[in-house]
Amino acid sequence: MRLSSFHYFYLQTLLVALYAGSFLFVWHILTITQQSLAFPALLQIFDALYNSVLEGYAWEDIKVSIIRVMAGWLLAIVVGTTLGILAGYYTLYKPLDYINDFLRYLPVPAFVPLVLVWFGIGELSKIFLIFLGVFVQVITMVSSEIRNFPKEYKEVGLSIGMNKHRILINIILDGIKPNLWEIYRINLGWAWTYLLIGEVVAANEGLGYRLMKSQRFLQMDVIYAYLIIIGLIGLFSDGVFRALKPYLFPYTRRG
Amino acid sequence: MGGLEVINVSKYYKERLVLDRIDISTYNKEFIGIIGQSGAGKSTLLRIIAGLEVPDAGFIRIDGEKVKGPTQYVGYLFQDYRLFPWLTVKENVFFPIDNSGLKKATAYSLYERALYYMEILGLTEKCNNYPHELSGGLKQRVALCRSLSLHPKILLLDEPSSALDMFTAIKSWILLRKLYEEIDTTFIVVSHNLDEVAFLCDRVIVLDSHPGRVLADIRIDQYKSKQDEIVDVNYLFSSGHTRIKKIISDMLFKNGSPNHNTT
Repeated sequence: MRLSSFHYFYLQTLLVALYAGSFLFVWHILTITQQSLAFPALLQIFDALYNSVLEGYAWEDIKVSIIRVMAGWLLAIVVGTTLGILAGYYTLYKPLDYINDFLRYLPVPAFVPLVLVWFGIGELSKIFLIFLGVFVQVITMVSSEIRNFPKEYKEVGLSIGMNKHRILINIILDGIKPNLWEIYRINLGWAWTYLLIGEVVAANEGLGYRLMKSQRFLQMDVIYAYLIIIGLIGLFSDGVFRALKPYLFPYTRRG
Repeated sequence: MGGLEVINVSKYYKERLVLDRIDISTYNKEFIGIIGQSGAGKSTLLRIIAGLEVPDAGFIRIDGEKVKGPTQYVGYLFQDYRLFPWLTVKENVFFPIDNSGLKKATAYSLYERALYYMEILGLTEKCNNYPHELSGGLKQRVALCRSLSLHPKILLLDEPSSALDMFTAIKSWILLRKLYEEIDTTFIVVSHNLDEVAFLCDRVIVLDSHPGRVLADIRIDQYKSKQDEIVDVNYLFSSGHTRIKKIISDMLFKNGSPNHNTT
């Protein structure tokens, strides 16, 4: 039986509620049976969430972190996409791929001491850590998209006398746009991971900073509240990407 | 209209001879069919004419000019159509005009012509649809329109109806023939379908396989009566059509068996 999109949406919502409900239930059982600091009661976490929002510091942390993530992520996708296209299409730039593979295997946290020396403890160091973590992934994913682009479409361009550069600009880049959109969406998630690496080391505000501070004061309820905030931001940004895709690329709407 | 000369063309693939000294020429508008079994190098020959592949010996001339690579004088209808899924029907058809670096005035007249092709092929209503929203037959028509949009002197059609069901294929043959009558372009169709070639073409070149060699060059228009010139599905069931198929198949299998030289 094929579900209509309306029924499909309701089924999905129901399943999400069911899975989330099961998780909360297990959590509740854990808090009752364990009586441990590591598992604060659900109400306690909700209180911490409510207070942080009410007192306003959560909004400040969210604002600062979002600015850092957006700056690092945007820089990374601009640089990563450019280098990925060059590495994936032109023989001259192919070695960039190998250099990038070397960089990709270096863990971002290992750069923290260096980055602090290079850029100090200001905003730049946090943005650079995000950039560093994300742009290497973007290069790999974009160059792979370019390399795997169907040669049949390139041949259509060749058959009408288009040169290599025009084929890249007017066929390949147009053709991979929805995939680039997906790459950017996936890497925005990675950007949040690298933000926390920067913020837990040297920051006076931001979601990562608050997590570290709460850990110092054993405020486990605040830690869980902030994890929920980060998760919700991720869910929201992913949702925006997914919702915009069919409007930006209407030909991807099928069925 | 483009004069085409295929002169002594040979092609090897990994030291295996695929095409062996092919000579074909046409100086007037013609609907030419190239027929042969699998391995006859039909598609390779088409790609060489289009400038997409370089022959190992011999050369191609169009209107006396040696072909050094793909040009806008040759249109190519790919077997799998290759419509860009991210472009609408109209954008697909206009794509070659938009991307050939033509002068505005030239491009404008080509847009007009492309719109005319879209109209006679019944695509006007579908101009804002995406390829995935079209049937196989409509996709073929869009691809045909696109390959004609630069008003080529020669149109190459690689197995144009191989992906279509029988009814759609017959409809597409009728449309192709009508289109051919309307425009000043030589059509060269590669196929292994006797019905298709016998229905569409005025002249058929039969290729042997392993390697591809010209076995016969048959003017089949001489076997078509004036009455047959009315493009009609009934023609497919006429004795004239059957006779032409017999002539082609006699040449195609003149060594006795369809598999005479396969191992």
